Amino acid sequence: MKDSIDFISKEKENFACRRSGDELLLIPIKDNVSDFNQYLTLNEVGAFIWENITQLDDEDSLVSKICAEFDTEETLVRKDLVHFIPQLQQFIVGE
Amino acid sequence: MRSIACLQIADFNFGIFTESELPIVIEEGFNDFILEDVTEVDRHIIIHQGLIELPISATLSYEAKQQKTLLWKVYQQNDGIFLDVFHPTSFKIQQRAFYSSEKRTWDIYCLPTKNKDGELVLNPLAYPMAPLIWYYLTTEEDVIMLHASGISAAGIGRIFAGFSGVGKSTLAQLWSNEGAEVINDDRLLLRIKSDGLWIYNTPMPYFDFSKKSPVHHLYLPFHAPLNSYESLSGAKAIANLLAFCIQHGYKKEILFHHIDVVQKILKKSSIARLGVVPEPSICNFIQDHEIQK
Repeated sequence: MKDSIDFISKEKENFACRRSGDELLLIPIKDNVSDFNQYLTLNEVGAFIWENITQLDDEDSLVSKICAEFDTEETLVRKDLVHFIPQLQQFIVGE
Repeated sequence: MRSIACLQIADFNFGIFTESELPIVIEEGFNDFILEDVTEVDRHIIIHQGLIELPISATLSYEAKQQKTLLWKVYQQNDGIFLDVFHPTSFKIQQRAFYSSEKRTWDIYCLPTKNKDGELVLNPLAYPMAPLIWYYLTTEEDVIMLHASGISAAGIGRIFAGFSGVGKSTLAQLWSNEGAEVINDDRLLLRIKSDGLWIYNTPMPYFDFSKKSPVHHLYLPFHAPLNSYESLSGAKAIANLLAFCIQHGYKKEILFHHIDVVQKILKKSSIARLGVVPEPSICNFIQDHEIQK
């Protein structure tokens, strides 16, 4: 997962993001133009991960950050993160 | 400085002035947008004869191209932007314009050209300069420019947004056949005002009356084997509408401004993806779903 976290952290600068209620709208920037046909919306937890993920993170540190922010069980967070991070990477690669 | 005219675009007044003694061309498409007896202007447009040098400090930020043809360039300057707008066929600079956001003023520099009678004239708003001025309005005000057709039927305004080929003009024509007024079938300004949302046409290369209408429903049509209606909300609605919002280059502040305006718009209007069979029955189909909502 560390490679995926590094990749996402590096690619964040190629996206514009904006809050809409509890959702975060991610819009890729390509060739100096924003591409609204390839957007992603993240829920509250996804938005928190996007806004706080850095290259210094690994799976454990991300789980800690999420658990510190949200009142939830560590095992559940870890299980969800294992699915979420590859999906986020896939979106970035595929955009 | 002599006053040439005042154009009203989306209820914003653009006062046009010049120090040049040459006649200023205001093309036919602008005629019905000219206001008389204006006391207040929202933007000044000052026409200058001849080009000026681009400041060394101006930095290129965007080039608009159609295939390989350069249409215009945008340069950032400390206190505004410079636009170099190129002639569509000679590819020479047609206008060099500077916009000061602080002064709300366009300075447009252009070379004299000969009209059909051989007279030297200045044509400062020659395409695509004028639409660029309307576009930059959308970077500062609660207004967006859409690839869309718009109609008004019995006081209800509807927008059909989409790129070429999705049926914008066909839908406008179908509504026109039912007695609706077509505001425009290709490009609209959508403005938030204190009394609601309004759509406006803008001057085109041909004559048309200046038109506006309150608007209540936004649609994103696509060709489909059956008529269909999918209501959108949240971030999905924002992104889907923004896809048809005209944007020239990426600048974070402008993008965020457009997102904020779209968010406000969607608080005042419904939005739906609309599968369309291009037949008259689509008008009733749309109305039936609006009633159900």
